[in-house]
Amino acid sequence: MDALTLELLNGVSLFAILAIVALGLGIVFGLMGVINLAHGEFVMLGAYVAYVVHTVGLNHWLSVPLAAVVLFVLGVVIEVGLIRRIHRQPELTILATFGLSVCLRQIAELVFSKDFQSVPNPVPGATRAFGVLFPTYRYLLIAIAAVIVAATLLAFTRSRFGLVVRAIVADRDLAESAGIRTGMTNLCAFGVGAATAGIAGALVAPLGAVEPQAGLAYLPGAFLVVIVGGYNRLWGVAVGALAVAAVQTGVIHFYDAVWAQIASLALAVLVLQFRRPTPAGAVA
Amino acid sequence: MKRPLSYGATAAVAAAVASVTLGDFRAGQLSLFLSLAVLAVSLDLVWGYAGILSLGQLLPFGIAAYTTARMAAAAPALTLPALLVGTLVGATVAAGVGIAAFRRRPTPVVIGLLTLVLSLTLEQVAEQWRDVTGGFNGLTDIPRITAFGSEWSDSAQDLFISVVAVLVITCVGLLVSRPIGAVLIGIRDNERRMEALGYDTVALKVWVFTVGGAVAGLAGALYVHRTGFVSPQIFGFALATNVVLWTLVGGRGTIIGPVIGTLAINFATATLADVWLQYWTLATGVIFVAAVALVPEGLVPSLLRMAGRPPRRSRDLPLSATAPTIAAGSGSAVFEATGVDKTFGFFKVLDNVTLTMDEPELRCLIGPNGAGKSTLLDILCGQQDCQNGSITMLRRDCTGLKAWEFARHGVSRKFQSPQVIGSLSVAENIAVAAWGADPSPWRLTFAAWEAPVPQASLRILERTGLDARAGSGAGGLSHGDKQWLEIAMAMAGHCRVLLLDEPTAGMTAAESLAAAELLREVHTDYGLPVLIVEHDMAFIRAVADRVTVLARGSLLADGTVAEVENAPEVVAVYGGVDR
Amino acid sequence: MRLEATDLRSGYGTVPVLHGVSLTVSSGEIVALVGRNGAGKTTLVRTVLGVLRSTGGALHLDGVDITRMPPSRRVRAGLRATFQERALFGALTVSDNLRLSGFGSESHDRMLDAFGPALSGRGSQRTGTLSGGEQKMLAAAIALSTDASLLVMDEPTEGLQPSNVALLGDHIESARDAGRGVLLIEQHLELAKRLADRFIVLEKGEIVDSGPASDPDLAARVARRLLI
Repeated sequence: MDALTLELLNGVSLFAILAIVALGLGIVFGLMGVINLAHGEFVMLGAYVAYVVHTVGLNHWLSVPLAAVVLFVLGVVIEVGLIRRIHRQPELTILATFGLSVCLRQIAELVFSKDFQSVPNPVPGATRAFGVLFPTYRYLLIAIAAVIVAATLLAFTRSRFGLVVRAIVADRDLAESAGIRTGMTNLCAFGVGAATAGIAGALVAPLGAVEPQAGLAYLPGAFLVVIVGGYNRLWGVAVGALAVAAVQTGVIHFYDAVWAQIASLALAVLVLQFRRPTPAGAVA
Repeated sequence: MKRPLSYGATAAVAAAVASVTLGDFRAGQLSLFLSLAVLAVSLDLVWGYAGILSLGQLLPFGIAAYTTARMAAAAPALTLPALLVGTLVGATVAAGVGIAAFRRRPTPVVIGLLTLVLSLTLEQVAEQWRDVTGGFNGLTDIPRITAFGSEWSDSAQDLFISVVAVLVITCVGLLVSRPIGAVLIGIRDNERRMEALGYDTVALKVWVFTVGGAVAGLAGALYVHRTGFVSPQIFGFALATNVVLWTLVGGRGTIIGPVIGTLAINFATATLADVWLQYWTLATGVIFVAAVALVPEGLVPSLLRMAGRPPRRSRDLPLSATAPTIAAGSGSAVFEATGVDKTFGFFKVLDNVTLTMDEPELRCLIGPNGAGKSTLLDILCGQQDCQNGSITMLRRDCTGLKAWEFARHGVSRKFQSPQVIGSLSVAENIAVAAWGADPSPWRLTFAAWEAPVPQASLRILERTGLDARAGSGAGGLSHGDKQWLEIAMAMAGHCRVLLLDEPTAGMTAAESLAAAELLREVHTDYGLPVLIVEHDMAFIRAVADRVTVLARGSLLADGTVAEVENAPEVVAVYGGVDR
Repeated sequence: MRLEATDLRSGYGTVPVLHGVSLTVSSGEIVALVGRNGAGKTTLVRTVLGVLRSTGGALHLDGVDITRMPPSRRVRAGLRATFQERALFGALTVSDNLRLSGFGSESHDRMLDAFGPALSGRGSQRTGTLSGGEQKMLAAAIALSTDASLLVMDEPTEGLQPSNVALLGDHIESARDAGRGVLLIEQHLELAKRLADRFIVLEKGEIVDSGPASDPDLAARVARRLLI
């Protein structure tokens, strides 16, 4: 019974991480139709922000807003300098962000070296709840992720910005015709997507090694979430993250992480078999 | 046929000479990079030619490499047959991925992501499955190729690998220079048009992905003998990025481009990496981004264009006349669509529409915007399904069949905006259309560059002057010429009933009347049944035997042009007087 | 305020639709643009608004060159258009559609009431669940309620019941009387005759006839061209 509870808690914290990593990917893809292959590197840079905050002796929690700001600015620069030129050609954006991810990893390596760095857990220790001991930081992580995902979903369903975003997703031309500056919104979307990646990176930094290749680890999971969840609704990201996390946790419980990855891949392929086919030659 | 073969033979000799004269170190580099060039060319075949963005070309490559390595360790005497096994393994892996991924036509983005995630997952599998893969460190001390009773020396093996790699690349070059190459380009440029010509594009994509997998598999088998070890990183992100980079920078859609890209970047890496490793990797990333943003076409095609040559030479080819178009025959039903319903969301586009053509005739379908005309035409040729109703074409129940099955049954379609294959010449467009009647990929690999074309199609080409421009690229034609080329394409295959969607869109009044005359002529001379969606009444008066009026998803009127024009309900819909 | 199109050309992909259209719409004037299906009327609306990029010619709004501006900037410069189809966000509520066009929620009820019983009190309803005619009315209501000085309306009365056609006509007239310019694409000939100061006839992407609405010969020619 306790083992099961622990497994469930692990699953929930995995879901929290997946959801928050995939959130930014989903915002950018849902709104702009751009798959950002450098998203994992944004997460990695967020983790380095946490590392820098730690080395200069500041409080870890400061790194979360700081990472959001740093990555937002980086996202804006990349949108203006690169994505804006090619965002109507999905294939090119994949390739450009593919190249971008190489650049960002290498810049991180040049600045911080290849060495594994660690960020100490700001809230060491465990909390006893539901009859089991579970790391307190992970509880916090779950809570923060829930707040961020819920806040984002609320922002996109309740605020004027959310209204504008939904209008653009529904029909870009019509939104422009209502006087909405879609170019500006794209800029914000890419910035916000990058910022959530930065937040995710800062939050997970204490859980593992901080290193230039760290972003790669998040990539497969996040992409599977986007494939499973469908690609134009933010709720899809939440559902996709839930499905992938459930499959992964379930399989990890019985087998191991690799089988978990294979199982979620199988889920993605299965979902593809039942998705309505795109008509031949349909290009955005 | 001759050019790729002579280039290939020259390159093979050059590779052999280089391998012997350059010294062991350079010869080793050459064989390593050439085996990687084979991998790049396999990506080029599926991406550059058939348009499938595969970020997981390492899947067949790596699995074949592991298989070959295990076989070489287990049975050193059988290393040469093991190369073939590697090829087959690559093909099998790719076929499996293709079948799982392409069936529901996901967008290129999804295919790219899925293949990438597959590859990255396999990297983890290879790390974990220690019994078979040797885990994180991989398999080492893989023997060199053994044949004729002894293990070869390094230099002999380098010579062998270099020459085989060049020969394989030549074979791919030969393949894409065959008719199947034009068909693959057709799928890349315009999948919808190809389906409407009778090509089962999903099956063809699986086929080319399988062939690409075989080539990548052989590349993996050669590579593993050259390096002497294989580790999980063979599936990793770094190599996945690099092979796309080589192909992209060199120029996809050409065979020589990816080879040059692979050799140039790898020799540069080998030279610069010692002194400059970190900055060089950063530089490759920057080159990648810059290449996408500035020369997305690739270097070789861009240079060729600057020199005033198209990257792919447009081809003229003999189009021989076959017997006149087979008419459906008088007295037999041409088509019969009964009780057709179609809704998009909550919007009912077609409401219980019944449209029949009993005798071969020239029929026009008219109606206001949003009446459902194009949708009905789509349903009559399988481009869209309908919710209810049955479709009988040329006395066969076609309800629920796919677009390419309609086309092979003899239902040809011209789309509203002209859909031709821009990268091919006029003659190639017609030939691709004609081959659609019997489009097996193996047949098209070995078939001659010639096409039997029905007289009706040739007549259109002659009368519009397109026959004089058979060798020029279809992408550069004027709008009106594209319209005619597409009509000729629709008639070039196994065409027994022709559906035309707004053939005079973009034509002047005089051109429209000339079009009416030509269509009437083809109809009377060859007995071809034609259904035309049109707005232009002058054209309709000149062309139509009979007119059917559709309004808001229902049949409104049917009869001769004069009858329909004077029907009060039609006047009401068009004039808007009585609303 | 004045809209001026000079030798305007555009099309879809490589398909040319407008072959050089020149027209002006002045303040306090209703210009009716008529023509058969496929003449290029909707293409003209889309090009004027900038949703479709022009391939040649120029567009000026009150002397300012707007040819290269994205639609949102044209809207901010005082241009507003209603489309024939898909004119609203069907998945959003009526109020949300109003908010997107910049109306504060305090003004919604007053706006909807002004357009008669069809829209009155429907603010919280999902727009896609309104009937086709009600949606047309709403789209027209939004455009007419903005402070845009130049309106382009693509078949605003298509699918409206006669009483609403009359009501909408009154609103368009009062927009004209308030000094706004209106380019009206209208198949409903009776209404066009009632409202328009001038007629322009489009055929195969070119202007083939035009003149003041008071010219009886022109009215007869227009009627003939519109009937098949």
